[in-house]
Amino acid sequence: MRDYIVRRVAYTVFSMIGATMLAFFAMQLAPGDPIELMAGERNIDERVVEIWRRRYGLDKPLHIQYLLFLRNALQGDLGTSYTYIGKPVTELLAEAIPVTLKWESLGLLLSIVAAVPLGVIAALKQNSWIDNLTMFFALIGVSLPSFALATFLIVGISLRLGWLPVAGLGTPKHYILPALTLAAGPTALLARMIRSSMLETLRQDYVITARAKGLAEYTVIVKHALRNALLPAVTVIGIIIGRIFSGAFLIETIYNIPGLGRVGVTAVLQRDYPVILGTTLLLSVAFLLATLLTDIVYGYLDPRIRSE
Amino acid sequence: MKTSTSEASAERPDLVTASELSNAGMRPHKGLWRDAWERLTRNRAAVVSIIFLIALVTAAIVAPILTPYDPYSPEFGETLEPPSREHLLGTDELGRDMLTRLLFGARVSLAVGLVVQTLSLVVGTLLGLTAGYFGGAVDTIIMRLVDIMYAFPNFLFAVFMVSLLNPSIASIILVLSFVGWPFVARLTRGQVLSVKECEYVQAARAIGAPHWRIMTRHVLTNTLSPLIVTFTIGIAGVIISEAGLSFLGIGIRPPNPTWGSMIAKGRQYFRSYPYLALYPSILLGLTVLAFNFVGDGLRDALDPRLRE
Repeated sequence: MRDYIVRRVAYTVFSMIGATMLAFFAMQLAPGDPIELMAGERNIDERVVEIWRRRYGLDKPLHIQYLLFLRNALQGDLGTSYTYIGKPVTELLAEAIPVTLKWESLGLLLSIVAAVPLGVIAALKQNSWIDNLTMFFALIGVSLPSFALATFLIVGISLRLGWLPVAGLGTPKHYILPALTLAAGPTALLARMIRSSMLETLRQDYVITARAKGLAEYTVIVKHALRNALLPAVTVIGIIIGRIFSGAFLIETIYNIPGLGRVGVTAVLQRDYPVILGTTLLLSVAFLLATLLTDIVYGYLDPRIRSE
Repeated sequence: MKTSTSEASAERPDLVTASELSNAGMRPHKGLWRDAWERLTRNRAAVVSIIFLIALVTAAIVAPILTPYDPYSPEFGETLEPPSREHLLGTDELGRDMLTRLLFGARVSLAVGLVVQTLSLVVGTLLGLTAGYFGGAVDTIIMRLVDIMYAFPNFLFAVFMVSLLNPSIASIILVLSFVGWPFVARLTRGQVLSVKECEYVQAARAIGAPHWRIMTRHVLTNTLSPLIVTFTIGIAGVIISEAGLSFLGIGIRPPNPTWGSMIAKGRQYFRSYPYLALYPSILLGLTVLAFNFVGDGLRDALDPRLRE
């Protein structure tokens, strides 16, 4: 197990370095000189510009700039925002992270709680109307982009019925629509996955043996089949957590939630490059850590994986 | 000239007809594609989806002939009109015919979806094939590149890249293809690794067939099925991404109609004119659903393991 974890961690570190490199060098494609962007409309003396250039290390060759950037990033310094002049990017992100985590964890929880019973019931009643209906909605859930789904929810539930607020995050009621919007896709994906893995498990010899021993149907399904069927779901949940972060971009824009996604979108629209780079890196690090954690949990749960 | 079964067997007693084969309990050999097509046409959801997509593509192509209205220029005398005989789906906030804009939006979505998937498929297949076939250092380099690309959630990376370039159809296509190829490469490589060990490939190598011939004739043709499915379902993903970028306001610029930007614009009129956001959401959802249905249908049709 230790070897397995060491290998996964090494792989994650490699990916992180690769990601920072790719993001840093891609930033060079951005039009305009960062110092000019910082100066903005103000008329700033050539000599001051020179000092700025040296202060930010922009007079050094690109690979040195990258190493400087990496060193600063590791020390929690991602530069300062161009839009909110002087405000450190890390501070901006630190304010937004809790907001996003709060409503997204609710959505994630919702999708897991809904998907497991849906997938199991669909598998147990294979080809019945319950199965067909669940899978039909699952396909719609997978297909419908979050911003289209949000349109339906807002028009139907908030405007027509007046049950829930349209936007913002003031009261607990405000959390329901964003969490539902976020949960739809993952629930659908997870339910489909659990159904097919449950169907496969139910055909295994050990399930037949359990039945033949005369165990109660509940014990057979929950203790023998479900526990094994849920294994592959761990990977899917990991993927979902990874994807959920970029889902914040769209959903937070629709519901006007002041989280990471909106910070990112605002930065993109205003060409606030340090914030764009900071958000991208933070989200990809979170994504990689989610993947790492998934791999470790999976390796722990399934001994066959470790030895590969 | 048509001959009946009895006549045919009288002239050529060595020939066996399809019906005789199936009477004898054997399946007639029709070739992979015919077989797959027949299975696909038996899938009702896939057939309906294919018909829908053909209709949509046709309508999008002939849109300029189909509608007398201009999708770009405003008609200030006719703003926000409800559906009527002149404007089947009403008009938008600038008095432009909604149906016309939806059809012109379909051109963007479908074209971006097709071109991006084709580019991703070509690049991904070439790199995946090379990596899997040659192995060694080539494999390591290509796959580490894929790993780095995997460090970013796709949509996040697309937002990041588009923010660095000037938004246009060309840059959207470039970015989405750049994001799309690693998945195809990883899939192709996996397929190639398993096909490579097959006896017919070893045989081809033993008789001294050149690499490119083995790669294209023997290896690639046997990895086609999963690639076709990926291509189809991937179009849905690309359409969602393009709509998402346009929705955030960093995609294709107005006045060009795209479904994503129409939904974003419609949001401002949610309370009084919900249909402005609803129509593009519905059409987007249906299109994505249709591609998913066709992809699912193709997977079942092309996977020999699922055959009875």
